[in-house]
Amino acid sequence: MNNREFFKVIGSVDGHLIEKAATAKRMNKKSYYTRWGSIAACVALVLGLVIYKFPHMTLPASPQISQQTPSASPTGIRKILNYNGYRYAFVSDGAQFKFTGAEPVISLGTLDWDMASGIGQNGEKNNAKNVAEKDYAATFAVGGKLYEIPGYPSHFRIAVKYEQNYYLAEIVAKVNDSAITAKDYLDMSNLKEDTKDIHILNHVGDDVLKKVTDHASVESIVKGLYDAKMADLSNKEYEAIAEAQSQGKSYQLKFNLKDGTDMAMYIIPDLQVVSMGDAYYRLSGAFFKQSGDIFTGLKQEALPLY
Amino acid sequence: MEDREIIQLYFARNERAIEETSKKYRHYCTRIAHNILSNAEDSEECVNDAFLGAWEAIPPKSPDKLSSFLGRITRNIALNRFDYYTARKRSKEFEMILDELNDCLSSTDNVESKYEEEQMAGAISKFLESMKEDHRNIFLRRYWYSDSMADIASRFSISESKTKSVLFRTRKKLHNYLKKEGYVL
Repeated sequence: MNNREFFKVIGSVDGHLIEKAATAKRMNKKSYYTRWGSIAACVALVLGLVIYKFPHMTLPASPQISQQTPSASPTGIRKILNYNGYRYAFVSDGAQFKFTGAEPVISLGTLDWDMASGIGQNGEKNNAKNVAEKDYAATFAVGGKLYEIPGYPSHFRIAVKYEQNYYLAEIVAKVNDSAITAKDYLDMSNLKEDTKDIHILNHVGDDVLKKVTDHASVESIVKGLYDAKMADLSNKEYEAIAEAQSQGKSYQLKFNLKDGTDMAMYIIPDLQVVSMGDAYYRLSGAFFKQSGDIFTGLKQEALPLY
Repeated sequence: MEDREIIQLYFARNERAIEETSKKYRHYCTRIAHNILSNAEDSEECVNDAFLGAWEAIPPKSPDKLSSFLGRITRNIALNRFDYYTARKRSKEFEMILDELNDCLSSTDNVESKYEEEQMAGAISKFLESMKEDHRNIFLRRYWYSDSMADIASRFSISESKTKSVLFRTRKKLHNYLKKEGYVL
């Protein structure tokens, strides 16, 4: 059988599946940000107890943030919004968060446009494709208000208040898909200052393989990321990345942050690439000279084929 | 007009059937044809032939889903034309799509393997049903609707790199699945 005949056979797959694919829209991104519920909840609980016990104690200027609801199911529309020329993805697929210590107060505007329908809050109809590139357009929490998170003046992460609940959203790309350098991404995320420790997990993110807790190693990893260069990958390289993921050669770097949340990147040491947001970056040889040892001897199961 | 009513017109041999089909599905079919042929004139001709094909096929056929039935006829006619227009500049994107499908085959040489198309399509449907919905839709947008990588990435709000990764892995899985099911392709 040749590829043309095979293409023809695919033409005869179940019409119901074809119909569903006809209207399918944005996917729900498999969260780059791992599930932090229990740890963050503990932090919030401890903080709550401290406040209860020592009511006169001064609260930190930066809030502690804890996840209140589980991440959404991994199907459906990817939850994103546009703000200030950047595309943001809702953290943990649109889970609700609670702020302790300092509530967001600085307003950044309202999510006026529904990306899926192209309809604005005032009923104005626009071409859905144009709306997808507009600031204040979203696929989720349309009508919600955007706020600056105390401690994130770069707006790398922002809060969305919708129906009395808070959500977090984080930069993953520019709306016009132009490149964000590793330095810009890392500066905006403030990882250098905010990282408490780093965990290395399997690709899926359900198994901690190593914990990097000493300050010097944490600093060295973050510093090494600054030298990463935007990767203009060929088709072969994308295929190699996918292959590495399925062969258990891709790891999740989970940065545990001081505010109780975390953020994650995916790293493939064999290919010397790392993901930040929606983009891939090439790591320098110096990074592996300095920090390559942390990946030595790590074992993870290959992903199931289906 | 509802699909059921359009099909009734075909069964009654009423020529309004084609008119109503055209009203409802011309745009849908033209896009499918254009993704393969990359030429407006050829695509229009292909869609007209697809509507005539539907007129010939219904009855006796009574499709469950008129949209995918028409889409399938359009795809097949466009594929035949694509092969026919060898002398002309052809769609590079569609050539890439066909190339990618080699990953699902054991050999790019034309292995003499004849399988009942419907039966094999049934196995592929079963495989697709077992997949995550978003990965399935990305696969079908690429290999059923012949959408470009850029269109798929934009439709699902993901990067092109992510799209390529998902497709690559799905092709490999499909290859393994069909092999396991006894298809030597």
